[in-house]
Amino acid sequence: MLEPIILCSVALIAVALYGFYSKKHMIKMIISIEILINAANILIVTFGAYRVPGYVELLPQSLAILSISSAGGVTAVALALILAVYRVYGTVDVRKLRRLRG
Amino acid sequence: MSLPILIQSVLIPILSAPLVYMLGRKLSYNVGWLAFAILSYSTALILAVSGAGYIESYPWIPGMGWSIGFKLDGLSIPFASNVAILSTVIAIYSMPYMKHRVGDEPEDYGSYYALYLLYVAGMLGTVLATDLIEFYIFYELMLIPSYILIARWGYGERERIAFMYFLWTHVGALILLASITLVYWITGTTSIEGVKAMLRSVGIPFTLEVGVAVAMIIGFLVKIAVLGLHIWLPHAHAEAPTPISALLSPAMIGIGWYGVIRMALGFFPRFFQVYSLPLAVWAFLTIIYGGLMALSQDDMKRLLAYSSISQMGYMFFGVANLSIVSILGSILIYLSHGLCKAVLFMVSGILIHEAGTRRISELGGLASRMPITTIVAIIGFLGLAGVPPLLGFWGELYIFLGSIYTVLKPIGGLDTIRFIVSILTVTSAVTLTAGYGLWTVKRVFFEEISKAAEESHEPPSLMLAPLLVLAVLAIILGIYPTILMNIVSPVIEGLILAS
Amino acid sequence: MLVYPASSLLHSSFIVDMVSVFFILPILLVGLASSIYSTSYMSRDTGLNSYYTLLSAMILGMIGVVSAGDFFTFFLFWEIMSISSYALVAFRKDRWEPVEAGFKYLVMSSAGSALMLSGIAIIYGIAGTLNFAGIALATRTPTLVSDPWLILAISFLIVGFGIKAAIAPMHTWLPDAHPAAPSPISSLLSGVMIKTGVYGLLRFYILFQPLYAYWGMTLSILAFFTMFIGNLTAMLQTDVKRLLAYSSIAQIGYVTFALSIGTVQSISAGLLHVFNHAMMKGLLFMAAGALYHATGSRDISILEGIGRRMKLTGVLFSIGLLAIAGIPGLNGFISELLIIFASIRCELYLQTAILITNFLISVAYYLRLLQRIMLREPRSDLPEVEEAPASMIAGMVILATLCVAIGVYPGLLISMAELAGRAALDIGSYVAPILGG
Repeated sequence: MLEPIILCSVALIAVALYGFYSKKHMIKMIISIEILINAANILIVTFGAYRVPGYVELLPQSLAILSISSAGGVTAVALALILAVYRVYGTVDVRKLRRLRG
Repeated sequence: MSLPILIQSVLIPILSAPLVYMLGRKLSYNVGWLAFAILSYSTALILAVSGAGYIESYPWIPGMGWSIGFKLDGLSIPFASNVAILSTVIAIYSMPYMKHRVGDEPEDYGSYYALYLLYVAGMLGTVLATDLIEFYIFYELMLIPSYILIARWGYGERERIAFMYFLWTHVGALILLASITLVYWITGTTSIEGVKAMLRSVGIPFTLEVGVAVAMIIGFLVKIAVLGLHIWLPHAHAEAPTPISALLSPAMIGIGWYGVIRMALGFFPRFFQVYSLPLAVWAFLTIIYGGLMALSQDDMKRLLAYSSISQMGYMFFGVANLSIVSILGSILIYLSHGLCKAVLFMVSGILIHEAGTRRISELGGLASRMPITTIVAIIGFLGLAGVPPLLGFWGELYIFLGSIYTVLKPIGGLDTIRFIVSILTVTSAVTLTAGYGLWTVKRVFFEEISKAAEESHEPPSLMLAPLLVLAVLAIILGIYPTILMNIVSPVIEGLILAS
Repeated sequence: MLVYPASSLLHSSFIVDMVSVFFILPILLVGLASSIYSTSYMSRDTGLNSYYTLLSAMILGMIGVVSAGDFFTFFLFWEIMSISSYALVAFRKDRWEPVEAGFKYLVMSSAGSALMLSGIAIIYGIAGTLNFAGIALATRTPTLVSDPWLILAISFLIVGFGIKAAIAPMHTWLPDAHPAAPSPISSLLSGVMIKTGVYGLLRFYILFQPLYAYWGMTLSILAFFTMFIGNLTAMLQTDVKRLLAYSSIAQIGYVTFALSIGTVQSISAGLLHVFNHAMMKGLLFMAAGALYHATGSRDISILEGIGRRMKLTGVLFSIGLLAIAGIPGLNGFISELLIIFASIRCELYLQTAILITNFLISVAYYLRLLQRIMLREPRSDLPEVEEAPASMIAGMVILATLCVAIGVYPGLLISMAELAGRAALDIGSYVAPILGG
């Protein structure tokens, strides 16, 4: 049962990284980050549940819950920022945010 | 534990610098007297213990084995007392000069004197240090304030020149630092005496010795500005505010030789023995180059700057010849050059102050307007040229006696090349120095009176008094140099004979 | 060493050893100074109740990160720190710069944390525990070195920490976010927050000791890349705070190099530099902020000569610049010297030469900045400025005093750093509480 889930999670990571680099819409970038975090969550939960047969460890499960809630926080801040960006620039396309040279 | 005397002489100027800065707003011009009082105190402390020598040590970072020590022995006494006396006297001279330079900006006096005190403390700390890291810290401490002093109150393209000065000497200092870390890596200690003892007893491969010694000597030679590493000096010394030129040139660059004699020569005597002749040739070229360039200058301060390069060549020649007498001569030259060149830079400051120019071609006939200044300037140039009974005479005499001694020393016969170099140096050096000195005196103070000279007269007594003090000192030490030689020679004998 | 709760592989826990103490100290000092400084710097803004809440949360997060004993606690505080810093960077949300920089920072940094989380998950899968000491025990077997999963996990962790520490090529958010943030926040971000990434990298020495050899190699290559990028681009900047931000990248390069050598001496030198850089860079960002507060500009050519109008700020700014330029007598010199010593001790001559070259390059631009701000005549169109308010000065004075004091008498701090360096490599006593039961 372990391997298919790990493969699924790795696939999710790949999807997220693809979205991260190819999408220019700010909301879509945030969604990519969400996918990335969820891929990690799946890994944690799986390892916590299947690593030792018949025994589910609690700390990794709590780590997953923590990560879900922190992802909520990040998303909230990100959406607030996107709103602010929209007010200032009138767009949510990251290609238009090119004033900083980084 | 001995009494904290030397640490006071270094720390009190540092600690009082912020106080001077703050009082500068209230006292304005008169803050110079405060700086004078502080420096007199330091000078008095140093002179009080310079009869017998003195040593103090304080733990600093016990974990790394670093301590802060202050040591006054035969080698550091001439350097420390020269720095202390010059800086005290020039503190007075700065007051009228800065009034001329900045006018009535009270803030400027505070920052000028605060930086001045830091600069002096850096120089004092350098010659008193007993630990390589401590030495390096003070070595850099003298760089920062002098950089700001030049960049803020200099002349011409002062910022660019100050930056060039900083970069050259900082790179030199970093090379020195690299050699210090290598020495630390080899011996595991940073105390100067400890390193010397370790290197003497352990002995290192000669190639390694050459590498470390070259790094260390290059580090010092940049500060000294010998030929090839001198690019920054004429600019910095010519464009610095004149009181600072009068400290840069006579006091600071010579400290490089203190470093060479105390450290490089003490640590790596074999290197000097092997490469004595090439170094002597380099010194000869430095003397000639400095002298010829001085001859061709029209700017009084640039002339003095090139003359400093030439004089540093004298010291180089003395050190390169590696005999007790010639090194003793180098140290006498340091003192005599210190006194005379300070006098001459101050004279050029007087010319700026009174005649409003330092171009020699615009000056002339000043002797009738300012007789005392003329006499002092002549004393200064004669001192550089080594005319008896001034101190410079003894310095040059000893250097050349020492070089002749080194020529004659090989038992198998005469060392021809060395003989030729020595003779060439003796003849050309004296001729060149006397030539540019007397010619400058003639062009500035005699001949027909020029337009700039018409208006000028003797400077205020605050500018004149410091000159007189130094000129009189040069004469007294010239008539009775034994007092100095008795202090200095035992240390140098120890240095040379031990190798 | 303080462990709470006493011994547990199953609970979340705190382990505070000398290394943690050495990171907590600068966090608290810079945090204190920047809170004092904020009282007048932020006085023109609204929403201050949330500002101070976020500030405290960020400091809390940083302290939690460096005292965590397992990955659960670590990640919890890491996220507290990150989220509050996103909000703080974009605090002045009605201007274009903070918003844009904040978004860039948020995207890069949260992607980094997510990758780090995947790394944590894989390591949990290998070791069977989230506890640091437990992981250290479980990964002791040398066969693990060639385990591809472990390599993958470690690369994820390096990216996660590297983004936070702004190690090149993951540094691109820093030169935007640090200048855009309000100055007290910049000084916290640049002074201490990027060091939490360094802390994470440092903990690897305890976590994965079979990988020492590869580890030093990777780190030193990254370090040199980082310092060159930081120093060379800093020379081109015309904005004071951007220049300082690039200089932070270079400084992180020095610290990373010190860690990569991996001896007690080098790690303590690196830790000392972490502490010193926190003081210097905190001071510098605050002073730059004071100039910005007075004039409304961060452009160096506009600020020329302003040090002669704002004397006190100017002097404090110069202290910071001289310290970070490695001028003897101030704190930066001591730690840079110790890094050089440590690397010469290990006979890394080429690396030392590169390091010294970098110090030299950096001196050039710090000094040019000093010259332009302090020594030039003020521009004729420079607006009338007043000295910074007392609480801003107070915040800066705290840090400047420390810079000078540590420079003059570094003995105490050096011996503390040495203890920390020993603790960072002492796996035996780190895992002892777990083994002892």
